[in-house]
Amino acid sequence: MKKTTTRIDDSNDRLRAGPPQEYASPFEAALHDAMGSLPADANPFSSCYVRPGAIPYRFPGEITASRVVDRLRQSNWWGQIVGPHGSGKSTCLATLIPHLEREGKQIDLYRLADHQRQLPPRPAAPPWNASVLVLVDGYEQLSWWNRWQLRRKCRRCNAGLLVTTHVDLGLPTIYTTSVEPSTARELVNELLRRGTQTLPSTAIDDALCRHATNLREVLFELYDRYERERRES
Amino acid sequence: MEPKISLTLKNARRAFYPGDELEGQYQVEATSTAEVTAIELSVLWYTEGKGDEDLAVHFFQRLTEADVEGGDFRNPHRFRTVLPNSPLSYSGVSLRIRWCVRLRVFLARGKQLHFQVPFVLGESLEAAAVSQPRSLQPSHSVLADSQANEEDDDSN
Amino acid sequence: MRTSHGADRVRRAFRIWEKKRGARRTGSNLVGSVGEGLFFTILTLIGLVSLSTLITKQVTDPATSDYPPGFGFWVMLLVLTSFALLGGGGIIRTMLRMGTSVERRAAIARRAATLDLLTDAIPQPRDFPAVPSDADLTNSPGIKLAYRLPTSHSPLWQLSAATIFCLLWNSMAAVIIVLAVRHREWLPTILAVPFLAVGIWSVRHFFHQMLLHNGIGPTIVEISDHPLYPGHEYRYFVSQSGRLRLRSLEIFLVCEEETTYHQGTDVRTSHCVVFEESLYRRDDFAIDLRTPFEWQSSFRVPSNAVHSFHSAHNRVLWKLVVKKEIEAWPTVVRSFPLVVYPARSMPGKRVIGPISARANA
Repeated sequence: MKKTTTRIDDSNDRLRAGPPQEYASPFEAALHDAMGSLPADANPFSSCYVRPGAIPYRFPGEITASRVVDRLRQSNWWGQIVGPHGSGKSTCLATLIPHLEREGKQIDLYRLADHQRQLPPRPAAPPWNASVLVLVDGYEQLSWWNRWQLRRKCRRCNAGLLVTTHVDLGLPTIYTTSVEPSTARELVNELLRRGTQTLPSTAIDDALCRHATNLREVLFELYDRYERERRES
Repeated sequence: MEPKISLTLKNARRAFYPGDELEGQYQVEATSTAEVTAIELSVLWYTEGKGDEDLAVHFFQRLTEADVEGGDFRNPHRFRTVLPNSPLSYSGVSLRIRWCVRLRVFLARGKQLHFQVPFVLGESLEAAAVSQPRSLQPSHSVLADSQANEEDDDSN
Repeated sequence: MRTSHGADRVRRAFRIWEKKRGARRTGSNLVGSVGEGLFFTILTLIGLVSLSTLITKQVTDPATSDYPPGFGFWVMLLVLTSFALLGGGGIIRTMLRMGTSVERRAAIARRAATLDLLTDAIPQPRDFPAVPSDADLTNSPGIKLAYRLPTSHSPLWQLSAATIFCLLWNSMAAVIIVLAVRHREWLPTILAVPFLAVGIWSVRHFFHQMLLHNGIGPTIVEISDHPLYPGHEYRYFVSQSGRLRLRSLEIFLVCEEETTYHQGTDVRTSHCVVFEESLYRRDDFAIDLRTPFEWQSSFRVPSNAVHSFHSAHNRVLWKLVVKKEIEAWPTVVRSFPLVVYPARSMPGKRVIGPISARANA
């Protein structure tokens, strides 16, 4: 009989097999905790490993998630995260959620996609009040009428509102996402360290050049490249 | 002290075929019985790859304090199920189908922990991409009934 | 005096009326279908144009209307609506029957007579989770082989949609133009131009679709058994009709992974071919209406083939693909889905539930 025993790591609510490891940066540690150990044939650029919430958002310079939450608090819990396609808005929002919950906020999250012009009904959702923070990922999908109605309802209930959007839609901007090539390269290298296959640096540079501000496209392209390299090796 | 979890499968090879019996046992060695509020064990398949993940549970077992003697989860618990005909484990290009036994432990104060042991169902099929599929490559503009290339349904 | 075969054909094609002899006709099938289509088109046009005129008059100038609101108006409305519906239904029916042989229709009727309604009404047990059902692929009997496969995207719906849109739009355009010319009102005059432009486009589109449908003709694929299993051999039959000069015709067995992913607000679908085998190829030949291309052979599903798979965002699709490179036409690719089940026998495998192949038609 084969037995597998593991210990629990309370600091991030994930089980980790094996002895603790040394990491080059807190980001790499967080990435390892998020992804765990991959199966041997796994592609580290798979959607399950790179989707919003799967990897932490890396804030540049001195900016931290706590500071962004402070800005939101200063604007009376109303704000927007603005950025182009694939710049990490959804990932940033997912990274902020645990910090918002620690501030005592009850999160009501809506992820809009696919021409969704209004918020989906949620009969079982808790009533909105001052302790609720409504998160809308993809705010620009809503029609102007539904946006107006949402803001009106949040004001009436004293609920907070934090949205992601591609363009400025009138709410206080608490953070603007962008893709720094160095950050993108660092993320790609750390993802590659989780896998068993290497990629030539030219492949990474080409992908970053081709999809300058869209990290999502970079990761998709590298998925295909990783598969090709794996099959050829 | 941190609780320890063990999950064992009877088949050391971790390779099974449709119709085989998957058998194992799990145990939570917690310092205090009040720490663990429930345990869920699932035998499931999930997809991994370029597309969004899909998942389906074949076998599910949930234990709460009322289900265990004296509310003590430290005793070993067994599970057994007959594996289905499909889907078989598959390692493709943009899609992988994986099977696993997943254990989820619910702790006090809303904490959760999960752990899984993978296994293979079937012959572990593999596939590689056809680099330039001729069935989908026209000599000039295509009047195709099926789409050959990646579609972009960008909502913006 | 014996007449030539060609003269017979011309005479038959242009026979004004025909005699029905039992289930057979003495005239040309194509001319008959075209005539039938014209009849239903005229019926639809009468219904739609008259209906539009009646409603428009009631709305714009009820005082001078020939049918003031009342019993007469409603009867007229009912009659004209039925013209439009009967005509439209007739057009669609004619197009569906165009190109189908009497043998095929008989085979369908024969199968309908053998359907066990009770069995078919009860859902079959799910012995293969996540493997798509092949019910839609086995409910159509073939002529040469057991099953006729549906195409993944029927070109007929495009023709139907073009027809309906063309009729509806041009009816409305006709009414607006009549109002603009007769009453010289500013609103109909302004609307007439864009309506006319779209109307002309819709007519062109309709004829384009008609040419595609009749010029290229349907591709028929039949198979000897279904579902398929890895390691097993199956016979297939392909028929292509129309009036075409082909640079090449090639038949493939293809396996494709299809994945859908949502990232932020974007939705994308990716296709990746993981298996492709050319089963047949022929270059530089012609097809005419009387001698369709036909080919029958067999193929083997690889023994290590992955089975068909279907989940919410991920699929493994097997299909037969017929690719035609036609002179003076764009390349046409038609796909015919197949379902491959997990292998019948694996070492040490014990399959639960029945896996017996379905009975041949």
